[in-house]
Amino acid sequence: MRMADTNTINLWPEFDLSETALSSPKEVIAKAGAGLKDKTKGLVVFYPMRTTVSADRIELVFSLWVAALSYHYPFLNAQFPIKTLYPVQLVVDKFPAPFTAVDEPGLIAALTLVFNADATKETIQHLISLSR
Amino acid sequence: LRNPASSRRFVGQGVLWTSGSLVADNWCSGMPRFMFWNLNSLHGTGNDRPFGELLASLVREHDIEVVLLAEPPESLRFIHDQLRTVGPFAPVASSRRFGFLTSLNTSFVTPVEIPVPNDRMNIFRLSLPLQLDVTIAVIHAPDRRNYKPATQELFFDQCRSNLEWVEKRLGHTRTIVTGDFNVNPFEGAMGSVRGMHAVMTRRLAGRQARRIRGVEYGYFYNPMWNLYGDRDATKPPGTYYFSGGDTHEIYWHMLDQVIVRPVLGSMFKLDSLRIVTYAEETAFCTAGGLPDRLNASDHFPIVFELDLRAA
Repeated sequence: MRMADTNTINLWPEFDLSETALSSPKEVIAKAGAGLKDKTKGLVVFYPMRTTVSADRIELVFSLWVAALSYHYPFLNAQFPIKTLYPVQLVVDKFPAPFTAVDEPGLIAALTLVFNADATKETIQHLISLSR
Repeated sequence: LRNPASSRRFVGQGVLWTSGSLVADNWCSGMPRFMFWNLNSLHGTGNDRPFGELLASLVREHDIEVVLLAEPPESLRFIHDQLRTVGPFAPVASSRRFGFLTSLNTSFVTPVEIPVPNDRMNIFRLSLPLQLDVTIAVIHAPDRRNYKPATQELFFDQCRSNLEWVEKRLGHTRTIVTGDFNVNPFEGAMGSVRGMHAVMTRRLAGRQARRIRGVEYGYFYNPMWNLYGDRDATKPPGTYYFSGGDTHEIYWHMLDQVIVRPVLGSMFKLDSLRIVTYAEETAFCTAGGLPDRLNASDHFPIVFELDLRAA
């Protein structure tokens, strides 16, 4: 019997790559923070600096990158279970207590609060001043 | 923290940590990671070992940003070249006995002159934007095989007075001391007021400075005590192995250490502290788990991290 040519036939099924597919917390946080680059005309960039994977959890560190100083300021830590993705725990610079977001809208609500907090604005303003 | 969002979806959960640090000990903070390694290459065969490759894999695997070396090879060029394949590493001026390379902007690091220059102790000031300034001292103490105890004692006495002088001059005690102390944490040179006065818990170190015969002696916290023993058989019980012929031999020694002033105790990420025996595919130990002196060094490196963000 002749074997099918597996070099040309893709045996994988179709996957949902649309916007409605489940986003990982990393993607949600990265997307939510990406606009900082525009808002600061490229002076300060929000980016995922470190990812640590353990048996059941993923831990992320997001930093504020100041290219002019070659400097990253660790800003936000996120931790979530690999299996369920939520809840996400966030520890944010200058915030006295961590947040727990139980789903994506909760995570976006938390990030909205964090990004717009006076302490965050002050930190970013300071980094902008240093980069000039 | 007042939370404007629905409490079902997004809840401020209160403090998760107990150490006083912004990020719990078991979280990686993204803060600068340091490493110290005595490469043992001042005498002879240093250039035969692939330190550049070893350090590059270590730096890659552990995200190290500050590399502190004792007894590096005569030229740091090969190490520097290899580290530049990992990140924007650059050297900081130090005495011949040490090497200091960092991927941080080198303008954040300033060597600090001490009144009596000492080639076995270098001190640097690390000033990261929006973070607390710290003083980093790297030392390489005289060893007991070549020097008498009185010489070791004098060295630590001088170290302590140099550090106190720097702390007074810089106006803070946020001091980190790392290096090859050539004594164990339990020996007088580390624990005594005539030595580093480094104690085994943050609580002990956080007490008021001791006053003895009218003189005040501030503490250091020595987290290396946590790494002794074989509770975790995958980790070495010390940084240096010596099989001597004395009646009392402990074999494994914790000569390579990091100690911090109590003000940094809560910022020291205890879970980040480790003695490293391999990185990526490269082992720094023999098949028997001892430091591989022929292919790496007779000391194991240590890595650690501090969260220097002002709370």
